[in-house]
Amino acid sequence: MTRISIKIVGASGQGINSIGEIVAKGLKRSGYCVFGYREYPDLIKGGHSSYQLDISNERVRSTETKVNVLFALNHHGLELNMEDLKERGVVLHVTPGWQFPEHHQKLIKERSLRVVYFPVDDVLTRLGAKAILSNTLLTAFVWSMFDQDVDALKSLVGQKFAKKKALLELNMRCIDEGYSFVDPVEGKVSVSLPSSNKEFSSHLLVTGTQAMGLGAIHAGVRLYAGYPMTPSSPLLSFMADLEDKTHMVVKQAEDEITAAQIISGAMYMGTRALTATSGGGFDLMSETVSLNAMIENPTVFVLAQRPGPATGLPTWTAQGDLLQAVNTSHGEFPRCVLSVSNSQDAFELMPVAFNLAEHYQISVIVLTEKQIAEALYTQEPYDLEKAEINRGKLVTDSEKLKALQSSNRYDPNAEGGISMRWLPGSNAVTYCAQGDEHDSTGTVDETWGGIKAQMEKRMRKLQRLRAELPEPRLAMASYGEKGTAWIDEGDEIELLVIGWGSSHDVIQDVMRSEELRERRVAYLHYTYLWPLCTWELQRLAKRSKRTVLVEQNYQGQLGMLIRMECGLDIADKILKYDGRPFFYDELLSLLLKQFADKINGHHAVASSSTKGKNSHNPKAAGFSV
Amino acid sequence: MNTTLQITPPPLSEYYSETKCTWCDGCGNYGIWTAVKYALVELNLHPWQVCLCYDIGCHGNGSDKIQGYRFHGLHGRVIPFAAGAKLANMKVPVIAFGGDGATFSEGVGHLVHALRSNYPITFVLHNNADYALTTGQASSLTWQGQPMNASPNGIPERTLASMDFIFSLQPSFVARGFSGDIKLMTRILKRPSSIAALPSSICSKRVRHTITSRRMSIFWKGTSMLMPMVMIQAICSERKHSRRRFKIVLPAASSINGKTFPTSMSDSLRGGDWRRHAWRRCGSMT
Repeated sequence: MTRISIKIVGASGQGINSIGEIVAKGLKRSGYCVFGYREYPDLIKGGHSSYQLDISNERVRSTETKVNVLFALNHHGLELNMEDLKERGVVLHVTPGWQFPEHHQKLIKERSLRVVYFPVDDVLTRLGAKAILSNTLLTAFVWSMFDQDVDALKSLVGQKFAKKKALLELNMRCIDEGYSFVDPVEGKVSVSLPSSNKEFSSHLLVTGTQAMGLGAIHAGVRLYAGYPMTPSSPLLSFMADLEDKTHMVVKQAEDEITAAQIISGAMYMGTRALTATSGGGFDLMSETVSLNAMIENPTVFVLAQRPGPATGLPTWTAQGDLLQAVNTSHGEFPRCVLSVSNSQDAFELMPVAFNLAEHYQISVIVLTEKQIAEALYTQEPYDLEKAEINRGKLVTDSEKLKALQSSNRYDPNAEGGISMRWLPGSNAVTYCAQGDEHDSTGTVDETWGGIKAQMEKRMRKLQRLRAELPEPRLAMASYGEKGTAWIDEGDEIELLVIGWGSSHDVIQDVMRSEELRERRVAYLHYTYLWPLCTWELQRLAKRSKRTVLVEQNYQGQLGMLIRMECGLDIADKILKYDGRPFFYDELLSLLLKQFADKINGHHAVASSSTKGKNSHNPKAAGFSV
Repeated sequence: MNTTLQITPPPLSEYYSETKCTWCDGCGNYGIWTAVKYALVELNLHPWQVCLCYDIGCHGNGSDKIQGYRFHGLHGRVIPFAAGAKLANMKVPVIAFGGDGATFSEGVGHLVHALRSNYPITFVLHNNADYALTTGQASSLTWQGQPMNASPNGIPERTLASMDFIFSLQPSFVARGFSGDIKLMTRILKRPSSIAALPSSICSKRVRHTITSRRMSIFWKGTSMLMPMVMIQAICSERKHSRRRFKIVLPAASSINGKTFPTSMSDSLRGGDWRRHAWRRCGSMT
């Protein structure tokens, strides 16, 4: 797979995102798969930010640490990001008279870098255009560098300014100028892309947040309540921007507690409702999660993770809130935790989450990460025909409503602990959604037998859920002529990788690399994190030479849960907790290192990751349950 | 406007619950409990047609002493839950009940924003100036200097002027009555059209201030078509206390019409957005 990457760097608010997005859109239309990754500080303006696009004619869903093109919109980028360039890379900058310091001059020589200075101010003055048009100018230059068709860019920009004729003309002139610019020193600079693949031109360009929002709408959500907290805020904005189309109630609440209570009230009333927050906000919502467990009110919460503790790193990514979600709130009660991993399942899992919530009458916590929420995906169009809505034991038929007894609501003998549910306003006997321990009708009950029966009723739902949730999903590299059949033929697995969340796509990309695609590597991806299914894992771990856990947190939280649930201790861990996602080349080298290391894995990974610190079991590198 | 109302009111027995009341003798909750049942019956509402949401406290223990689709939630959080329920299905009248602890301490933020949002719900505040269920600690409406459980030397904080506070938030309809006067409480509870979820006869009166008795004050603004957030404060302290309670001075009429009460239609509509919003957009999936 040939991959090309361009990193646009500069101050926040300088137009990094708009250049990135327009280039991404243009390339996608021309038939390329684009993956966009943003890094930015917790500021509105200023601060060093970047927008990186990784481009290929095959599916690409990860970011490289080294890029082919560095596009510096200010001199800070030249100071900070020169090391990011690959051999024969291109530095494009707009700083007049910039003198590279000695070590950078050396770097330019060593890596045979090509440096292009684009005199953006001169050109703008000549055209009589405002500074804002520098984005168009520079985008056009990047376009010519990639040898793309100028008319494609013109039609793209033309759509944006179709109604502003004067501005449109100026933009077109900027495109001509930018496209035809040739550096007097370097001459025509080009970075060749692989041949395009028309399949991608019909794809969508979406962020994980947009995918999740569309998924929620697809799931029948009619009310969204939220309180802004990065990285969940874009979902609130997205739902609000669509409210005139969806005719959905979108409410910015006064705090996360309110948002959680509003959606709980709405779900009690029978309307599918959603809220999203990040770890700190979820702390505030957790009391409501406990309440919903007691009144057996189906609810769905989105927990968009960022590094903590406290406000931590608002604009960076992590997988540090898994244990928070699994252990949320006081008391013992069933809940389901699942995690999205990209724009595909961010869409698909929203209906699933609501169906699970309503079927089992529990809270479902959907984890996402800043990386997923804000990454830009080239996504094949979603299946909008398929819409399975399962409302569980909801009674709506008028005859059946009339036959109901109040005691049906929390009937402790209900099969699987899942009792009938009917909505306020239904012509039937009524009940109390009781936050105190209660009997089958919702009347407060403190008798020993009653308490026991209700606790067992609720916890039976967890047993049922555990039995019915799908096992983790297995993916493998193709091994020579066998393709992926080797896994079914019972061959030994050289390396079994365990992970969840955004690591999924990076691991998938890495498994298709030159280095790994001919090895017997398998990846077991956990979508459903609680209750945890470990049968498949234990089976596979037994036939694996090495097992390694890949997570973006310090403790290896999924590893802790696995050990808690089945005793399997995965000693080898690739853990990352620096606010960055896994990068393609970084993860590749970390996984390759696993092969090189001793089987018992006692001198595993380095760099930003740590090795399995908690390995007490010397035999624990992937088996002995 | 002619609206078909059910002619025969449901019998009061429809609201009867076999669960024994656990309130102390003479508790104000009995009065409100009874008045709520009367009001619902007189509004021709069957138990299955209403949603009653209770906060935590002695009043909340009434959640299983009445019929209706009830909810008994978390301390201080009843208003947003009730608002969510209402926004999800505008056809079901929603009444929320809370104590003075929930309303002015734990959940005071929700009160403020609920009045701002003007959710089309009725909120009944059971005010006994006391945390009775947790055996008698002070609330922010307990008068300064009163010795209470956990403040044996008298509470040092100033008493919160509840009505001044509420009026500063430009409410649509506020009434205050005495819980022991069931007839009065029933009348107050029946006033707000949001319970009936249908326009009633009090429409078209823009801003009014009525004092019908020494023990009752009703303030309302806007028309019933607006279905405003309704707040009813029921004083339910013991007699010894209640005498003191009435020392809280109600705002004079002028200040209501002038400074703290919006009089223009646009002002009153501003707060009504949530109602219109929800009518237009939301609906139960079933």
